[in-house]
Amino acid sequence: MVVERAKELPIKPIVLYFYCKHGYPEQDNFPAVARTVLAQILEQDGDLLPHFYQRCCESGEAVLETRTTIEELLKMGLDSCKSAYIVIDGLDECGRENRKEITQWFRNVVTDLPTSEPDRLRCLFVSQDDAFSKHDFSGLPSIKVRVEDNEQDIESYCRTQADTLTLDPYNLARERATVIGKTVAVSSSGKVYLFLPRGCDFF
Amino acid sequence: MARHYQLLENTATLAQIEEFQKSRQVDNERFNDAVKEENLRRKKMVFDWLRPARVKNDHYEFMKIRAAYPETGEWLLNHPTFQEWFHPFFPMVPPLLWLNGIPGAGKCRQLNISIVH
Repeated sequence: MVVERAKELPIKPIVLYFYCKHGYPEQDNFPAVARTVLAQILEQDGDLLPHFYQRCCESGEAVLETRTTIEELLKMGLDSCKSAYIVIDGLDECGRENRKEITQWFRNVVTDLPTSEPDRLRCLFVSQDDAFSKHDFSGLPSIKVRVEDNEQDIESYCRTQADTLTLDPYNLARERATVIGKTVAVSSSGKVYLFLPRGCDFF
Repeated sequence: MARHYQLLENTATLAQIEEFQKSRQVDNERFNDAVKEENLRRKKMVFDWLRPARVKNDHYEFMKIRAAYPETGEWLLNHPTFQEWFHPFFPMVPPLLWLNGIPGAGKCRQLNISIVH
Protein backbone atom coordinates (compact mmCIF):
# COMPACT_ATOMS: atom_id res chain seq x y z
CA MET A 1 0.00 0.00 0.00
CA VAL A 2 2.80 2.38 0.95
CA VAL A 3 4.64 1.16 -2.13
CA GLU A 4 1.68 1.89 -4.38
CA ARG A 5 1.18 5.35 -2.90
CA ALA A 6 4.84 6.18 -3.36
CA LYS A 7 4.65 5.15 -7.02
CA GLU A 8 1.83 7.65 -7.50
CA LEU A 9 3.80 10.63 -6.24
CA PRO A 10 4.28 13.36 -8.84
CA ILE A 11 8.04 13.52 -8.18
CA LYS A 12 8.20 9.95 -9.52
CA PRO A 13 10.70 8.54 -7.02
CA ILE A 14 12.39 5.21 -7.44
CA VAL A 15 10.34 2.83 -5.31
CA LEU A 16 12.18 -0.09 -3.75
CA TYR A 17 10.70 -2.75 -1.53
CA PHE A 18 11.41 -6.13 -0.04
CA TYR A 19 9.32 -8.68 1.85
CA CYS A 20 11.41 -10.80 4.19
CA LYS A 21 10.24 -14.36 4.63
CA HIS A 22 11.22 -16.78 7.34
CA GLY A 23 12.70 -20.00 6.05
CA TYR A 24 13.37 -18.66 2.55
CA PRO A 25 17.13 -18.26 1.99
CA GLU A 26 16.36 -16.01 -0.95
CA GLN A 27 14.36 -13.64 1.22
CA ASP A 28 15.96 -13.48 4.63
CA ASN A 29 19.42 -11.95 4.37
CA PHE A 30 21.25 -8.83 3.28
CA PRO A 31 22.70 -10.05 -0.04
CA ALA A 32 19.21 -11.16 -1.14
CA VAL A 33 17.75 -7.77 -0.22
CA ALA A 34 20.61 -5.97 -1.95
CA ARG A 35 20.41 -7.95 -5.19
CA THR A 36 16.65 -7.56 -5.37
CA VAL A 37 16.83 -3.84 -4.74
CA LEU A 38 19.53 -3.54 -7.40
CA ALA A 39 17.25 -5.27 -9.91
CA GLN A 40 14.44 -2.88 -9.00
CA ILE A 41 16.72 0.14 -9.46
CA LEU A 42 17.78 -1.17 -12.84
CA GLU A 43 14.15 -1.69 -13.89
CA GLN A 44 13.34 1.90 -13.06
CA ASP A 45 16.54 3.50 -14.34
CA GLY A 46 17.89 2.03 -17.54
CA ASP A 47 20.89 4.37 -17.56
CA LEU A 48 22.67 2.09 -15.15
CA LEU A 49 22.58 -0.87 -17.51
CA PRO A 50 25.96 -0.25 -19.21
CA HIS A 51 27.82 -0.09 -15.91
CA PHE A 52 25.99 -3.06 -14.40
CA TYR A 53 26.57 -5.04 -17.56
CA GLN A 54 30.26 -4.33 -17.47
CA ARG A 55 30.51 -5.42 -13.84
CA CYS A 56 28.47 -8.51 -14.67
CA CYS A 57 30.88 -9.49 -17.44
CA GLU A 58 33.90 -8.83 -15.26
CA SER A 59 32.55 -10.64 -12.23
CA GLY A 60 33.15 -14.21 -13.31
CA GLU A 61 30.21 -15.31 -11.16
CA ALA A 62 27.00 -16.81 -12.51
CA VAL A 63 25.20 -15.10 -9.67
CA LEU A 64 26.48 -12.02 -7.86
CA GLU A 65 27.81 -13.19 -4.53
CA THR A 66 30.94 -11.19 -3.75
CA ARG A 67 29.99 -9.05 -0.79
CA THR A 68 32.17 -6.07 -1.67
CA THR A 69 30.73 -5.91 -5.18
CA ILE A 70 27.20 -6.18 -3.85
CA GLU A 71 27.70 -3.29 -1.45
CA GLU A 72 29.55 -1.19 -3.99
CA LEU A 73 26.89 -1.61 -6.65
CA LEU A 74 24.05 -1.01 -4.22
CA LYS A 75 25.67 2.16 -2.94
CA MET A 76 26.24 3.28 -6.51
CA GLY A 77 22.71 2.41 -7.53
CA LEU A 78 21.21 4.34 -4.63
CA ASP A 79 23.55 7.27 -5.25
CA SER A 80 22.15 7.53 -8.76
CA CYS A 81 18.55 7.85 -7.55
CA LYS A 82 17.26 11.42 -7.52
CA SER A 83 14.73 10.28 -4.97
CA ALA A 84 14.03 6.83 -3.57
CA TYR A 85 11.44 5.38 -1.21
CA ILE A 86 12.58 2.12 0.36
CA VAL A 87 10.23 -0.23 2.25
CA ILE A 88 11.60 -3.29 4.00
CA ASP A 89 8.88 -5.46 5.45
CA GLY A 90 9.00 -8.40 7.83
CA LEU A 91 12.46 -7.92 9.32
CA ASP A 92 11.39 -9.98 12.30
CA GLU A 93 11.25 -12.95 9.90
CA CYS A 94 15.01 -12.89 9.46
CA GLY A 95 17.59 -14.41 11.79
CA ARG A 96 19.13 -12.16 14.42
CA GLU A 97 22.35 -11.36 12.59
CA ASN A 98 20.64 -10.92 9.24
CA ARG A 99 18.03 -8.49 10.44
CA LYS A 100 20.63 -6.45 12.29
CA GLU A 101 22.80 -6.34 9.20
CA ILE A 102 19.97 -5.28 6.87
CA THR A 103 18.72 -2.62 9.25
CA GLN A 104 22.14 -1.17 9.97
CA TRP A 105 23.11 -0.97 6.34
CA PHE A 106 19.99 0.87 5.28
CA ARG A 107 19.99 3.10 8.34
CA ASN A 108 23.55 4.11 7.57
CA VAL A 109 22.96 4.78 3.90
CA VAL A 110 20.21 7.23 4.84
CA THR A 111 21.95 8.93 7.77
CA ASP A 112 25.13 9.27 5.70
CA LEU A 113 23.35 11.48 3.21
CA PRO A 114 24.91 14.94 2.96
CA THR A 115 23.10 17.90 4.52
CA SER A 116 22.45 19.25 1.04
CA GLU A 117 20.10 16.35 0.34
CA PRO A 118 19.21 14.66 3.61
CA ASP A 119 15.94 13.26 2.33
CA ARG A 120 16.97 11.96 -1.05
CA LEU A 121 16.65 8.42 0.23
CA ARG A 122 14.08 7.40 2.78
CA CYS A 123 13.47 4.07 4.42
CA LEU A 124 10.50 2.47 6.16
CA PHE A 125 11.12 -0.64 8.24
CA VAL A 126 8.22 -2.92 9.13
CA SER A 127 8.87 -5.33 11.94
CA GLN A 128 7.21 -6.82 15.01
CA ASP A 129 8.06 -5.15 18.26
CA ASP A 130 10.44 -7.47 20.05
CA ALA A 131 13.72 -7.17 21.95
CA PHE A 132 15.79 -7.22 18.78
CA SER A 133 13.68 -4.57 17.07
CA LYS A 134 13.91 -2.30 20.06
CA HIS A 135 17.67 -2.47 19.74
CA ASP A 136 17.93 -2.25 15.95
CA PHE A 137 15.50 0.65 15.59
CA SER A 138 16.44 2.55 18.71
CA GLY A 139 16.26 6.27 18.18
CA LEU A 140 13.92 6.05 15.22
CA PRO A 141 10.40 7.46 15.13
CA SER A 142 7.91 4.65 15.19
CA ILE A 143 4.25 3.92 14.67
CA LYS A 144 2.68 1.15 16.66
CA VAL A 145 -0.31 -0.58 15.16
CA ARG A 146 -2.88 -1.06 17.88
CA VAL A 147 -6.09 -3.02 17.93
CA GLU A 148 -8.08 0.25 17.81
CA ASP A 149 -6.36 1.19 14.58
CA ASN A 150 -7.42 -2.10 13.13
CA GLU A 151 -11.03 -1.81 14.21
CA GLN A 152 -12.23 -0.26 11.02
CA ASP A 153 -10.16 -2.75 9.07
CA ILE A 154 -11.68 -5.61 11.05
CA GLU A 155 -15.20 -4.31 10.51
CA SER A 156 -14.61 -3.96 6.82
CA TYR A 157 -13.09 -7.42 6.66
CA CYS A 158 -15.91 -9.05 8.61
CA ARG A 159 -18.56 -7.27 6.60
CA THR A 160 -17.12 -8.50 3.35
CA GLN A 161 -16.67 -12.03 4.62
CA ALA A 162 -20.22 -12.08 6.03
CA ASP A 163 -21.56 -11.13 2.60
CA THR A 164 -20.15 -14.35 1.18
CA LEU A 165 -22.35 -16.29 3.61
CA THR A 166 -25.42 -15.19 1.64
CA LEU A 167 -24.10 -16.96 -1.41
CA ASP A 168 -23.73 -20.65 -2.29
CA PRO A 169 -23.19 -22.99 -0.58
CA TYR A 170 -24.31 -21.31 2.64
CA ASN A 171 -27.26 -19.26 1.36
CA LEU A 172 -27.92 -17.63 4.68
CA ALA A 173 -30.42 -14.81 5.00
CA ARG A 174 -28.71 -11.43 5.00
CA GLU A 175 -29.72 -10.67 8.56
CA ARG A 176 -28.21 -13.86 9.85
CA ALA A 177 -25.03 -13.28 7.86
CA THR A 178 -24.71 -9.79 9.31
CA VAL A 179 -25.10 -11.12 12.86
CA ILE A 180 -22.38 -13.67 12.25
CA GLY A 181 -20.12 -11.03 10.78
CA LYS A 182 -20.55 -8.89 13.85
CA THR A 183 -19.89 -11.72 16.28
CA VAL A 184 -16.24 -11.04 16.87
CA ALA A 185 -14.33 -11.65 20.05
CA VAL A 186 -11.21 -9.66 20.70
CA SER A 187 -8.88 -11.25 23.18
CA SER A 188 -6.60 -9.21 25.41
CA SER A 189 -3.59 -10.02 23.24
CA GLY A 190 -5.15 -8.19 20.34
CA LYS A 191 -6.03 -11.24 18.32
CA VAL A 192 -9.40 -11.43 16.66
CA TYR A 193 -11.36 -14.65 16.70
CA LEU A 194 -14.03 -15.06 14.10
CA PHE A 195 -16.57 -17.66 15.12
CA LEU A 196 -18.03 -19.47 12.16
CA PRO A 197 -20.72 -22.08 11.71
CA ARG A 198 -19.36 -25.57 11.35
CA GLY A 199 -18.48 -26.33 7.77
CA CYS A 200 -17.51 -22.78 6.80
CA ASP A 201 -14.21 -22.41 5.14
CA PHE A 202 -13.10 -18.97 4.01
CA PHE A 203 -9.49 -19.90 3.29
CA MET B 1 14.12 21.26 -75.58
CA ALA B 2 17.27 21.48 -73.44
CA ARG B 3 15.20 22.98 -70.64
CA HIS B 4 12.74 20.08 -70.78
CA TYR B 5 15.56 17.57 -70.64
CA GLN B 6 17.06 19.29 -67.61
CA LEU B 7 13.67 19.28 -65.89
CA LEU B 8 13.36 15.53 -66.50
CA GLU B 9 16.84 14.96 -65.14
CA ASN B 10 16.01 16.90 -61.97
CA THR B 11 12.78 15.01 -61.48
CA ALA B 12 14.58 11.71 -61.83
CA THR B 13 17.17 12.82 -59.29
CA LEU B 14 14.44 13.75 -56.84
CA ALA B 15 12.98 10.28 -57.10
CA GLN B 16 16.41 8.86 -56.46
CA ILE B 17 16.82 11.06 -53.39
CA GLU B 18 13.50 9.84 -52.02
CA GLU B 19 14.55 6.26 -52.63
CA PHE B 20 17.80 6.89 -50.82
CA GLN B 21 16.02 8.49 -47.88
CA LYS B 22 13.63 5.59 -47.59
CA SER B 23 16.45 3.11 -47.62
CA ARG B 24 18.32 5.19 -45.01
CA GLN B 25 15.23 5.09 -42.85
CA VAL B 26 14.97 1.33 -43.16
CA ASP B 27 18.63 1.01 -42.20
CA ASN B 28 18.14 3.28 -39.20
CA GLU B 29 15.16 1.27 -38.04
CA ARG B 30 17.12 -1.95 -38.42
CA PHE B 31 19.97 -0.44 -36.44
CA ASN B 32 17.64 0.76 -33.66
CA ASP B 33 16.04 -2.66 -33.48
CA ALA B 34 19.44 -4.26 -33.19
CA VAL B 35 20.38 -1.89 -30.38
CA LYS B 36 17.13 -2.65 -28.58
CA GLU B 37 17.74 -6.39 -28.96
CA GLU B 38 21.25 -6.06 -27.59
CA ASN B 39 20.04 -3.98 -24.64
CA LEU B 40 17.39 -6.57 -23.85
CA ARG B 41 19.97 -9.30 -23.99
CA ARG B 42 22.26 -7.39 -21.65
CA LYS B 43 19.42 -6.61 -19.28
CA LYS B 44 18.48 -10.28 -19.12
CA MET B 45 22.08 -11.20 -18.45
CA VAL B 46 22.34 -8.70 -15.61
CA PHE B 47 19.03 -9.79 -14.09
CA ASP B 48 20.13 -13.42 -14.18
CA TRP B 49 23.33 -12.38 -12.44
CA LEU B 50 21.44 -10.40 -9.79
CA ARG B 51 18.91 -13.20 -9.24
CA PRO B 52 16.37 -11.00 -7.48
CA ALA B 53 13.90 -12.57 -5.05
CA ARG B 54 10.32 -12.94 -6.23
CA VAL B 55 8.99 -10.10 -4.11
CA LYS B 56 6.89 -8.87 -7.01
CA ASN B 57 4.71 -11.96 -6.61
CA ASP B 58 4.35 -11.32 -2.90
CA HIS B 59 3.46 -7.73 -3.63
CA TYR B 60 0.89 -8.77 -6.24
CA GLU B 61 -0.75 -11.17 -3.82
CA PHE B 62 -0.94 -8.53 -1.11
CA MET B 63 -2.41 -6.02 -3.56
CA LYS B 64 -5.09 -8.51 -4.59
CA ILE B 65 -6.13 -8.99 -1.01
CA ARG B 66 -6.06 -5.28 -0.32
CA ALA B 67 -8.21 -4.64 -3.40
CA ALA B 68 -10.94 -6.71 -1.79
CA TYR B 69 -10.89 -4.44 1.27
CA PRO B 70 -10.21 -0.98 -0.10
CA GLU B 71 -10.77 1.00 3.10
CA THR B 72 -8.25 -0.92 5.16
CA GLY B 73 -5.02 0.79 6.11
CA GLU B 74 -6.17 4.36 5.46
CA TRP B 75 -5.54 5.21 9.09
CA LEU B 76 -1.83 4.59 8.54
CA LEU B 77 -1.58 6.82 5.49
CA ASN B 78 -3.27 9.59 7.47
CA HIS B 79 -1.10 9.15 10.58
CA PRO B 80 0.90 12.36 11.20
CA THR B 81 4.20 10.54 11.79
CA PHE B 82 3.72 8.59 8.61
CA GLN B 83 2.96 11.79 6.75
CA GLU B 84 6.20 13.25 8.09
CA TRP B 85 8.13 10.34 6.64
CA PHE B 86 6.20 10.20 3.39
CA HIS B 87 5.91 13.85 2.41
CA PRO B 88 7.88 14.36 -0.81
CA PHE B 89 8.99 17.91 -0.04
CA PHE B 90 9.06 18.38 3.72
CA PRO B 91 9.89 15.06 5.32
CA MET B 92 11.49 14.37 8.68
CA VAL B 93 15.27 14.21 8.74
CA PRO B 94 16.61 11.58 8.60
CA PRO B 95 13.60 10.02 6.93
CA LEU B 96 13.66 6.69 8.74
CA LEU B 97 10.54 5.15 10.24
CA TRP B 98 9.74 1.94 12.08
CA LEU B 99 6.28 0.46 11.73
CA ASN B 100 5.66 -2.18 14.33
CA GLY B 101 2.80 -4.47 15.14
CA ILE B 102 2.09 -5.19 11.49
CA PRO B 103 3.91 -8.35 10.46
CA GLY B 104 3.12 -7.93 6.78
CA ALA B 105 1.07 -6.00 4.27
CA GLY B 106 -1.47 -8.66 3.49
CA LYS B 107 -3.32 -11.84 4.26
CA CYS B 108 -4.56 -12.17 7.81
CA ARG B 109 -1.32 -11.01 9.30
CA GLN B 110 -2.15 -7.34 9.44
CA LEU B 111 -5.49 -7.98 11.04
CA ASN B 112 -4.19 -10.75 13.33
CA ILE B 113 -7.29 -12.73 12.61
CA SER B 114 -7.56 -16.33 13.63
CA ILE B 115 -10.31 -18.57 12.38
CA VAL B 116 -11.97 -20.70 15.01
CA HIS B 117 -14.39 -23.39 13.96
